[in-house]
Amino acid sequence: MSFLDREATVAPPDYNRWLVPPAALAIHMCIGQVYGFSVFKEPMSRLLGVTAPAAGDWKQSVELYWIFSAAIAILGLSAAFLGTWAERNGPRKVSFIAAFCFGGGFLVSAVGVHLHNIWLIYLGYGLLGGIGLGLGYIAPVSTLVKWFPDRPGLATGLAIMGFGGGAMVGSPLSVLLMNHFHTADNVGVQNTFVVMGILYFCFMMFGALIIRVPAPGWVPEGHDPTRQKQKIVTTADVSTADAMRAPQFYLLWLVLVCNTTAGIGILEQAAPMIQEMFPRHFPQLPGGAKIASAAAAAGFVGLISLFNLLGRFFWASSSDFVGRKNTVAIFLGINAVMFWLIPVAGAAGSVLLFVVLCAVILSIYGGGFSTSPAYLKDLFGTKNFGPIYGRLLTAWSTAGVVGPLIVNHIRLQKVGQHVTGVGVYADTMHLMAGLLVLAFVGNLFVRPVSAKSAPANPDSAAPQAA
Amino acid sequence: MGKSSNGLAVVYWLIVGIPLAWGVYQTAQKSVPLFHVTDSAPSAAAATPPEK
Repeated sequence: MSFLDREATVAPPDYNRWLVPPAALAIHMCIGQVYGFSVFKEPMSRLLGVTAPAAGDWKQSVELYWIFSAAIAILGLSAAFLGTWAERNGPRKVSFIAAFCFGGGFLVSAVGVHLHNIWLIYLGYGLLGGIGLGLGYIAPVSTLVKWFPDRPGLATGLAIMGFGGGAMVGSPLSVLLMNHFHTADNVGVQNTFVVMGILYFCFMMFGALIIRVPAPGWVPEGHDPTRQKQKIVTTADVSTADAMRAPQFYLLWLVLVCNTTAGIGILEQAAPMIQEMFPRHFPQLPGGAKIASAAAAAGFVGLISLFNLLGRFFWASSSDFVGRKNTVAIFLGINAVMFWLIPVAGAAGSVLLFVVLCAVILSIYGGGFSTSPAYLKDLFGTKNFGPIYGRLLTAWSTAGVVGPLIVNHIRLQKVGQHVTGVGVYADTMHLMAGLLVLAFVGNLFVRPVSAKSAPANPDSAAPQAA
Repeated sequence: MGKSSNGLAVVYWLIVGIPLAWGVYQTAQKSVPLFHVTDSAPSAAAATPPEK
């Protein structure tokens, strides 16, 4: 038996379960860097010209645009196709491979930057990094829901909050490193990729080494899985095949895809949106005023990222008390109203209202990610959680690829029609509100999984106290 | 679970908490210029003369 095998990671009965969330956080904080990848786009568009883009340099809206989308698409696909394998092999082996893929993806990308070969970047950060993302995402979440059957929302909130924090660590770290390695004839991206690849590999290995799974049948002290307060909760373990046949899975998929697409509607265009909707507050005059405007717009992006992080913890952990279905209904309802009010805030010229609305929206965007695994656990149990959750993550990939395309398409169409100010974004916001209403209705139809699909779980029937 | 496992848990949480706190601090600091805009009167910002 290798120390990477699932059997080697089984914890003794008196193991302190609070040793496990840091493992999940370590891994998620690394792979969450993907949301901070945009800091590389501008420097990578002048690898040849160094001070300004030269002929032959990659364009931000063409070659560089697809790196992030490829990584997110591969995340969903690898989580969906490798979920069963990941569940069988245990979180340590999976996290170990994820560390090699994610760290290795940076190193292959560094070679791509050195040779100025965009396909090596797609292969490195997009494909290898994407596989690292998918495996690194599901393994810790799947492990935590097994450790915290009494507080699955808190557990998934903690792990997925780390993913939100990943960009907050990754972005300033990337900027620091690029400034350090920057020379007169080199923008410093290549060496930054090498250092980040090694750093992330080491940090993910820390997570892989300390992660443990509970023994079969283990339940926390005082927790009786047969006495669940929430009506939606199954005390059984539904098979992956049965979950794929259950309408509940597709309703949850709908909720996640709509909520993510809506959040992306703000995230994707946050900086230009606040500047274009409030031209009097963000003057686009040459010189100092324009620089101050850009700094304030970047501050807006930073602020909503903070709320994205906080929402991941807040909504998921409160769902343990309010109920998963109720929490999702509450945040989807609030979100739809917030989107509807954004054009109103723009028309009224209220930056403060606009910022508050966007902060709430982003907290719900994060909350959707962290609440959905706990919801999934409630509906289908913990035994086959990994493969089922992996398949659910295709909703994120779909939204991550399709969402920005829709948002950019509408924006460019409006700009082409010489529409200015609030008008550029009003249709997008109303469309997103419509999607959220659709998700709200979908959530109302979620019922407990039928007994036919959920055979009795012997582990649940005979709880073994820690 | 003994005191040693509690101590170990504190060490693990610090290992992940310190970089996360640094990232949150960096982001919070980056957000500060936004509050200058929301606090200030729009006309004051718009009145900034263009530099030649």
